[in-house]
Amino acid sequence: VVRSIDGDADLDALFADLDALPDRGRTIVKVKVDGTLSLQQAARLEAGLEAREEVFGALEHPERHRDITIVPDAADLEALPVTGYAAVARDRLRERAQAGGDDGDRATDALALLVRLVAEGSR
Amino acid sequence: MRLLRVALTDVRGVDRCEVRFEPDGVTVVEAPNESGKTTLLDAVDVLLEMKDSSNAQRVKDLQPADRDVPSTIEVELSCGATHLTCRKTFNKQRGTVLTIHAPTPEVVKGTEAHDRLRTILEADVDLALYRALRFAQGRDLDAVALGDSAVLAARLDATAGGTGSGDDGGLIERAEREYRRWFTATGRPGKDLAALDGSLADVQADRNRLADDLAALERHVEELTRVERELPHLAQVRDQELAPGLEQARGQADRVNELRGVVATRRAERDHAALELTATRDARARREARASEVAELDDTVAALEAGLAPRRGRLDELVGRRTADGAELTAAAARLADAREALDRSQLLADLVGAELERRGLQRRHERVVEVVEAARDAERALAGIRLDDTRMRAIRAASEDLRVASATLATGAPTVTLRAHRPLRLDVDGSPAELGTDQPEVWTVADRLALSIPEVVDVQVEAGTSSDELVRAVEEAERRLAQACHEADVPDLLTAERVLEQRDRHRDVVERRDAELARELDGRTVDELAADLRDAEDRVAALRERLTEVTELPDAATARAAVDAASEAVRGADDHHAGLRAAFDELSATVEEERTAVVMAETQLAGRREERDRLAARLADERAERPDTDLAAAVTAAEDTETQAAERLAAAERELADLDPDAVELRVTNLAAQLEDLHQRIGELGQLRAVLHERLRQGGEAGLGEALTQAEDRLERVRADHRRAHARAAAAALLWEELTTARDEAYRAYRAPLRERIAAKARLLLGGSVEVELGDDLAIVGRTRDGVALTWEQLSAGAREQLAILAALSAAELAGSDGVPFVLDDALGYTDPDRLERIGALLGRTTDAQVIVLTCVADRFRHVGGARTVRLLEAAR
Repeated sequence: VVRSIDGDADLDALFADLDALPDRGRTIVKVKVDGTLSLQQAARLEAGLEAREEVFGALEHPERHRDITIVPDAADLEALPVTGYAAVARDRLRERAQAGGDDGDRATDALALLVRLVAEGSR
Repeated sequence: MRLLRVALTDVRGVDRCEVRFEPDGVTVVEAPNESGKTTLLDAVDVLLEMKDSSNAQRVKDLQPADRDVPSTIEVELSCGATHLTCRKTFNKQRGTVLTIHAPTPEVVKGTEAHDRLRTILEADVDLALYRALRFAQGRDLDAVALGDSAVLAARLDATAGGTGSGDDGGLIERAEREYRRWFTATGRPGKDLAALDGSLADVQADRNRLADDLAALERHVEELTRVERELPHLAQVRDQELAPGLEQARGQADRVNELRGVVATRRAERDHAALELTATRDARARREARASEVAELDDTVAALEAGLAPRRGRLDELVGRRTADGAELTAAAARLADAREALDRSQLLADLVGAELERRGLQRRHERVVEVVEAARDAERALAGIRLDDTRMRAIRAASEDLRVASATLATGAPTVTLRAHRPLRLDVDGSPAELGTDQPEVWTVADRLALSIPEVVDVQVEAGTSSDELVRAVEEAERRLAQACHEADVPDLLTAERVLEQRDRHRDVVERRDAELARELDGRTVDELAADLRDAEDRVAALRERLTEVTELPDAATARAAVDAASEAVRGADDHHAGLRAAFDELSATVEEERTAVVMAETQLAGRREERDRLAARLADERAERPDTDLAAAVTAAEDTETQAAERLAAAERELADLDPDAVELRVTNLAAQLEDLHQRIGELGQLRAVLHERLRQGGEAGLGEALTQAEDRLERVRADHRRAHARAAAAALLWEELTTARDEAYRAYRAPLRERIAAKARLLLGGSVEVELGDDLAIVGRTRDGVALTWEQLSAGAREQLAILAALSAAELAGSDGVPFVLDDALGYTDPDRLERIGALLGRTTDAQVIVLTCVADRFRHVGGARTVRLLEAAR
């Protein structure tokens, strides 16, 4: 499956197409995606693919096949259910991400990781 | 959570008891040791944690030691909005009953009751804080670690403004786990990153190796093409050019070798003929040389005989001349002896004159010495008789001066008579006549009296008064002293004294000049030595006179010296003449000896040459008898012909060899052979290389290098992408971990402040003065500063650590407030002195927001806790 994904609608479509595949338990799927997603959308893509790994005979979605540009938006960050020092760390990372450059890219990745870790805690 | 009531039945050593606790404030439970205080709270823990069905050891331990009975624990407590009573029976007749009184009354039993109780506790009770606030007997004196208390953290967080630790739902642990997935504890890349790095390096190496192999394969194809093209060309050169050329050259080389053998034979024949010719010529030359040598010796003998005769004549002449010169030399020697004798006599006479003069001088000196010594002796005698010395002379002169002055004073102090005549007249003065002119008056002094008489005119008598008598006595006294001084000097008056003094000085001069004169006359000798010298001089004069008896009158010294000089001159003249004759005689003698030696040598040489000539002439005659000179000449001619013919045959053979150019033939053979060998080797090597290249191309084709390289490059691209993403994820994990821990540490520092302040305030009340405490990350006390002196926890005394730990626990319990748990002191403060006990009691007594339960066997230890409810366990057990 090769897709360009640029938002929740594309994500919905991807997941719907995967779920619609027949005989999933005996099907090997290789997913290759690119596009631009928010932190929440990227986390949703990651979680959605991981959730379906058990469903398919094999679901391969290596990172080298994921050319996704993550652009955290305000909603991403405000929606993070963190308080206290975690919120302070989130805000500092957001400032560094907005500054751009290599450090900004790292901060963006760190924010994405924060979103994922918070999501893990809430599961 | 608040413990409200605990009831035990048959639990350990407690048969039955029930204790009620104040929900806020202090409850002191008094009981002796081993009467069940600790059992009371251990039983609460078992009820809260263990199911009634449990067979755990701590449950079994509830049963009394001597009875097989069920153990029942009943606890009433409140937590949050819930008020409940739970009753559990263990070991026998097991059962659980949970009675919820509020908010909604309910009774639950069995396992469900236990589960419900756990649910309520986990939801509303900070169990970590509950464990932290238990001060059991014998507890380690570690600081109270409150860092695990969620309630305390939330309260501190709220107090600090809501940025503190909060409950992050395990976020920090997950972030750390993610970080540790990529990095070690010390921050170095972990095994996953290292494995990725290694994997990337391996794949890159594989790809590079395959690319190198493929490039090598392509080079092999090019190489094989070149080899296939070169091999036939080299075979053609070998077969059509080099091999025939080498065969032809080797034929020429064989001919050259044959001719070299011929030349060698001819050269040997020529060399033999040349040797024969040389030997024959040498024999002829030796014969001619011998004959020439005999002839030369004949000439030499004749020349020597001719030169010897005049030499012998000259020798005879020289011998005659030397005989005549010897007689003349003898006469000159006699004259020289006579002149030397005359010189000796004139010298003796001069010596006699000198000795006589010396004797006379010594005699004069000796006489003068005797004279001086005697004069000095007379002067010394005269000096001994003179009493006058310089002192006495000065006394005489002084007395004489005094007399002169007294007389003058008498003259000026006495009355005077002055007469001025109007005409010349004659008169008598004290009986002496005197004349008086008119030009000037005449004055007379009157020492005593004065009588003036002008004949026939008048007589005048003048007398001095009383003052003149004293002056007269002074003059008399001066005269007496002068007479005394002269008497002492043994002289009559001053004038005589002056003469005697002059005589004394002359005598002294004689004595003083004696030594100088003696020194001059003796000239460093003593008088005896001078006398001895005089005797020696006299002896020498006598001895010389005995040798010169014919001399009757001595000449003067100059005459004697002149005679000596004349005799010396005569000796020098005779000596010079004799020396000249001696030198000429010696020179002539040397010439005679040289000539005699030359004659002897010439005679010897002549004899030697004659003998040699005779010996060689005899040998030449023998040789000619054996082989005449004509035979030798014929043999030389025959040898010359033979040598000429051999040389001509050798030259012909060498010319034939040279025409073949043997060096060029050898060079060509060698060069062609080497070329052929090189070509053989090259063809062999190319053949092997072709086989190797065929094999490598075959192997390369089988290995599918091109496809393998494509796959390796794909794999490298994938691994690179994985590597890049993994590092990006690792960097994100590191950054998130860094930001979270930084923010957490900052929050910790902020929200620890309320607890620290509360502990410090209590510590100030306990210890007095300025007290600050420092909390670690786990909210445990790590140090205390009192009045500027900072100590770490470990440096504090056991008592201080226990007191600070209690204050920290009490502060935590107060901060937790209604969400908190009981603060239990079980036989604590054993290290605390009475004064501190009173202060701690006061602090505990102020507690209103927390439940404090004190278990003690020493009731007096907590009597200072104001407002505490005291329960005596023995009474409660009744």
